[in-house]
Amino acid sequence: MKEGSPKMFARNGHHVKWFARALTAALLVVASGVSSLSPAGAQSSSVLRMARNAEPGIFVPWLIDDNTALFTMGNVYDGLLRVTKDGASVEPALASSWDTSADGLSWTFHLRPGVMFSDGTPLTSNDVKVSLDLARGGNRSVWKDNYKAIKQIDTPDPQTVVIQLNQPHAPLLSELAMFPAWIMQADMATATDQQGYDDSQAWASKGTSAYYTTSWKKGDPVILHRNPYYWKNTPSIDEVDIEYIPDDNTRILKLQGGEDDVIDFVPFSQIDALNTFPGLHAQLFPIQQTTFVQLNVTKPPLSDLNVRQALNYATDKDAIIKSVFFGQAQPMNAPIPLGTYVDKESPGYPFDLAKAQALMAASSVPNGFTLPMVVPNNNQDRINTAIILKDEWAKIGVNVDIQQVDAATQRAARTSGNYNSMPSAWTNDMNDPTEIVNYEMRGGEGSGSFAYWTRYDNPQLSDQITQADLQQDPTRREQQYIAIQRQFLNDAPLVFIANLGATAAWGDRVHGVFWDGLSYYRFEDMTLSN
Amino acid sequence: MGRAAYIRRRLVLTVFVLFGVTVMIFGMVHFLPGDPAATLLGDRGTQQNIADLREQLCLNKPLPEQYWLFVSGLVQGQMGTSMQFRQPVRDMVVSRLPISIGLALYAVLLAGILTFTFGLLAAVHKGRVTDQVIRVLFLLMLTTPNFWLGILLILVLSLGLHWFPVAGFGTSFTDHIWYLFLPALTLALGLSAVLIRNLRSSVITTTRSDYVRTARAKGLLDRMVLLRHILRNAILSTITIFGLQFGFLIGGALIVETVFAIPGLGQLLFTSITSRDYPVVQAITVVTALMVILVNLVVDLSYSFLDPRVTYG
Amino acid sequence: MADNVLSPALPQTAQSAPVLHLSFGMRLQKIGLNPTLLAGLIILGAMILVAIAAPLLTPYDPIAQKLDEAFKPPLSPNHPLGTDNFGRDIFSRILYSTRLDLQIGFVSVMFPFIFGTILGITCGYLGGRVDTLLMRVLDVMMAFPFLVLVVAIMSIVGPGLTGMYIAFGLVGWIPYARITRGEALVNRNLEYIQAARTIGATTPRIMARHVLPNVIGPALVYVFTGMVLAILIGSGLSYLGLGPQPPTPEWGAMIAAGRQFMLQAWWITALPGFALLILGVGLSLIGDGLADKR
Repeated sequence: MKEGSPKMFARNGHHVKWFARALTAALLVVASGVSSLSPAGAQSSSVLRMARNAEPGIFVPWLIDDNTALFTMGNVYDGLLRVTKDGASVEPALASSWDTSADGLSWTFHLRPGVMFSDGTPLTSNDVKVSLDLARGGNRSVWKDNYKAIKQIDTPDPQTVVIQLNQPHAPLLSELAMFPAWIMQADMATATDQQGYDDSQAWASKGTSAYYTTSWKKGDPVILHRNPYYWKNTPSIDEVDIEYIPDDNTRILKLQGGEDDVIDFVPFSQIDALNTFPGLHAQLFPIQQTTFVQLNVTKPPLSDLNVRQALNYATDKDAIIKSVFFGQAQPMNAPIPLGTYVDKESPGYPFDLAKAQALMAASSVPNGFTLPMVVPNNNQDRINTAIILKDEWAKIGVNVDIQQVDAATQRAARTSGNYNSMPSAWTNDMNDPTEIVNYEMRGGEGSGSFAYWTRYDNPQLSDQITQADLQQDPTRREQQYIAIQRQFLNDAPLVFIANLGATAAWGDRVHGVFWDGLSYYRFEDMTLSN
Repeated sequence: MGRAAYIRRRLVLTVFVLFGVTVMIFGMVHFLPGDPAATLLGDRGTQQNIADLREQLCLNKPLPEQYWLFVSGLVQGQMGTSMQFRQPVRDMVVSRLPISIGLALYAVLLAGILTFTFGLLAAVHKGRVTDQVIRVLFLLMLTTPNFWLGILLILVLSLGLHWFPVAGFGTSFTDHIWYLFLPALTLALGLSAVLIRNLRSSVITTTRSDYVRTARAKGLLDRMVLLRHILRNAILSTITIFGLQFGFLIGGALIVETVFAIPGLGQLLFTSITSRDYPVVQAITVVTALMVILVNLVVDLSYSFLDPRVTYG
Repeated sequence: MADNVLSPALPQTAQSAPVLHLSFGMRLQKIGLNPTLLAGLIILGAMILVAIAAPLLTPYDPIAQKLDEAFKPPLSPNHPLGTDNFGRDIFSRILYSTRLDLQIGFVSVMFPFIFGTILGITCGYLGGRVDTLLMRVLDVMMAFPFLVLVVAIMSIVGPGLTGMYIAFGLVGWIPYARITRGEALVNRNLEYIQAARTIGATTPRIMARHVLPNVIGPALVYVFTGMVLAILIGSGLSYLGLGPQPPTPEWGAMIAAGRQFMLQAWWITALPGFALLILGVGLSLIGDGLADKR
């Protein structure tokens, strides 16, 4: 018999084989047995289950810094006003009506009668004053800049709030509809600004909107309970359970498996495919969001206007929309998102390779140049956009050098100005152009954002912006903003690409799913059928 | 030296090792480019509100002072507050640690079953069809990235056969066992692919070695030879790799945790690095370091139990 | 403990002259190869050839985009393995990335293997303070989450493969050190080692000529596993957004990038995985063949 031959183990091998077979059989039995115990996602008919791609951060309106908390909070807190569903203007919320003085410096808001917080206590003008004062001047508020037009807030009676301004300020109503101005019960609001406040307490919410939360710690699903005192029609869904599923594919599989009713951030490539599944719906909701490439105008040859315009003409927006966004986007012709006072007639930069080449020939770098492009490594859309631009711009002699870095490094590069080009995206927080125009087009010291970090600085344009902000007459204001947009478009510190939307998918059980122009979703408008 | 003395000495050294780890992680994290405040505020960040947030998060204090706050807090069991979630880091870590350990243990258990069953089968039937099939199958597992394997398992075992849920963690203890099966299996398949090769080759080598021949010559029963000599020595190298991988599993299962949405330490570590949430990164690093050191100690001790020829001195 | 696996079988016909008719397998055996090892080497050799000859094997540029030819499935005319979301030919990308992946596999493992083995033998054989000190250093390195290390290094060094190689260099030697140390601990007290000591052989000589050949076995088997693991870790890093810069073709990056289309264009992510499987088979056969030799 040969050394070390398997025959030596014949008897023992026999045992091992049987062990393996028995084990496999046992596992199969256990698996099928366990599956019959499975709580097959059985929920009562009025619980909505949602899966999102991120978890919320801080849960105080004027301290918010992330979208997930924001969208959750939109279901818990209200402001004096609310943005309309089409995102075009504002409508009454906690304030049922308002009037303004002739000089525009004093605004009086009449509170809706009978509004109560989720614990049953009545809303008074004091709650409004305390919340707004914290937004515009609290120790911790990071949104003070948006409210610097307000000089003082008075409360002549429990149902009336008077806001005094430093100068006439047209965007006031939009600012009051914006999230930092949402109203929290006064005692709780004051507590949030104290030294040593434990922010997790903010999850025991005291708001006036359709739902409330009692607590949350990271890793748990966010649970929203219906607010029995809500001032509008009673929402039909009693409870919303929102879990965190970071992987895009997994989120879709959860929807397909019936473990969730609604999911957000559906990859653009999956929308058409999901609609072919029986019982599933996927949709793109247009929102006030744009994507573009920032160009650092202090880095030659980007300081050359010819070069910047050439890059714009050399960009085939339709190709990017088709390839990166799977047709679920529109070309960006105006320099700001599709919202109030957007330049609807803007010519934009249609794809014109010949013109781009002519501009390059006339520029300071007729033979082309190398353009480093910083891309955040966690955003597939931006990476894909960069890859396509590399190919497109090669045709005018520009060699894009893609540098994929982690998101925090990318932000640092942006803030410090240590980059040449960078794909980017912006979503409006309010439906007045003042936010984006100031953030994107105002340059120089004191601008806060250096013209969307491009270091573009046109003092004349900055003055025009200031004028527009002060303009009271809506028609004239619109004209001023349009002129501003034309000028900025021509100066091209950005390469304009597309107007985007928000994607969501849901199952047959749920109706009324809607993402509004600012990307908010309201559970009060949704219903469940069984 | 005796085993007890050895253990005592190792534990003392553990303190020094942990100290080294704290210095490394603090230094590394603070020299990473990027600003937590700017990252948190994202697209809405302006120069002013970024500066305001930095003040609030105590980021402007001198580094040695921040390090001292970190270490002195650790010694008292405090781990600071998460900058992104504004919750005490200790609560976040303590709630996730059992989950990560549970997942790692589950994976190791499944891997153990798979390894010994199929590894021995393959060794015993060396060269024949069973051996080849097992090796090819596990080679397939080895070369498949685990995010792929995870999705495949979901497609087949969850959406296809409805045996397991798609993803998530569940609420009750029985729920957890059930929800964690697929992620544990994903990890176990990759792990056993490595271990099976090792076990198989160890068994084969040991089988042909001198002392096994001697044992057989002495007339010991085949079965006893197998168990006492071959297995014991084959286990040695397997355990080494086991130990290596287990430590890695606690903090490194992040891809599986992400795909299956398990609230474990790996995934928390990654998102915290991305958002530069220093206190969380530091705390998790120290905790996982401690776990790894303890696992190493157990592995080292097991050498001496398994093989009396191993001495420490 | 070299043992011949197969003793040459004597031919049946006892009457004829005692000429040994060796089978093919036995002939290989004489030059030190066995069928497994040979098969593995053939596969590896083929891959190296493909890597060198890639431009000759396909007309397409691996990074050339043709957006109107995106998402063609395999077996389409002109595109045997289909195209990806940018219309790039997948067959070309797989061929070209062979170069990079062989490089990744090799570089990520060579230095760690050499360094780790030397360190492991030294610790395991010498024991005492040397062992304790080096093992504690190993503890610190091993305890430190690899991910933090990689992100930190990449943030400092910049994106791309260099950061990955540095990170592997810093921690990749650990498995080899621990494996060889474990084996060396067992071996140090064996009789033949003690005999060598008695004769007066110096420590380095003992380590190199007696301990090394006996402990290197499992480490060498792990090398080939390690190569595949290195590429897979690279793929994991690409999943997390750290890895070779786009549009560089590299299997791991292709697998990770393709997963956004996993549910409708599976070939984009699956086919590079298949190429990785072939390399894995080749390397594992080599590893097994080497193990069988001992």
